[in-house]
Amino acid sequence: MTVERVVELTIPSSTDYLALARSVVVAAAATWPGLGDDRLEDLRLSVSEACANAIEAHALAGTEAAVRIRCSLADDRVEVEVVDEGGGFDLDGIDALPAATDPERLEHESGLGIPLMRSHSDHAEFVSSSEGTNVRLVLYAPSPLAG
Amino acid sequence: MFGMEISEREDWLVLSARGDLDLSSAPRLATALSGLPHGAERVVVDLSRVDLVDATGIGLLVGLQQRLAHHGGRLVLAGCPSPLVDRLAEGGMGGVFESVDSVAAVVGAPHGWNGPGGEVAP
Repeated sequence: MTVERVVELTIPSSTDYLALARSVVVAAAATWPGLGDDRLEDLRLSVSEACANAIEAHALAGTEAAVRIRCSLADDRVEVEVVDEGGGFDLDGIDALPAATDPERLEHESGLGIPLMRSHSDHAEFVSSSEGTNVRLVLYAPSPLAG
Repeated sequence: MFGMEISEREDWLVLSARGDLDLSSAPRLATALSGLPHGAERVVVDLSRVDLVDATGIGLLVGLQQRLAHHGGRLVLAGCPSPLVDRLAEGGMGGVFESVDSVAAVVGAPHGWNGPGGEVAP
């Protein structure tokens, strides 16, 4: 039977709360023995990127809506969802940037957040529309945990 | 909490950062970087007391590197946290930044720097 524990957090859409958001998620994940320190660091960065993008999306859309973060700890994974009500983004536009290993990539100072989330989580999913964006990040435990 | 000190040591401009270099601290860092003396050519950013560098922070460092390279200058990162080194390597930027263990490796090193186009001693 799958045991799931959930921590939910809603933050004002301000960078003042960025450190709080990543601290809460990492503290929640640290109660679960599945991730070592290196993976907690991966989670910290990934969540920070997702929340930063959400806050920026709200600023661009001119909305003061809160950013919602949901962290669930299951037997085999930590899953974090970050939901915003910004104007969405074009994922194809991000993918169209020069490859990370292309020297021309250095001409683009932005757009690094999504590649970082992808490389620091086991699964990163982005669902974006004009209504907002839902980012889902999953980090798996090395092996199923008992209890 | 992010903080930054800028000092001149010998012929180097030393930026010592501490805390998290992220979207929340980016405006302060950007302001500090834009205020660097015009024509500054030798800049070392001390990251040994930085806990986290996110995409925004990496972007600012890339921008500074580009700006300095444009007029023949160089940027050296000192004391990079190992996660950042990994992150830069994963992003294809492992060879973009010159990196040393500490500021002392370049500032005051008699043969540590040979001027623009030179190499930082290991």
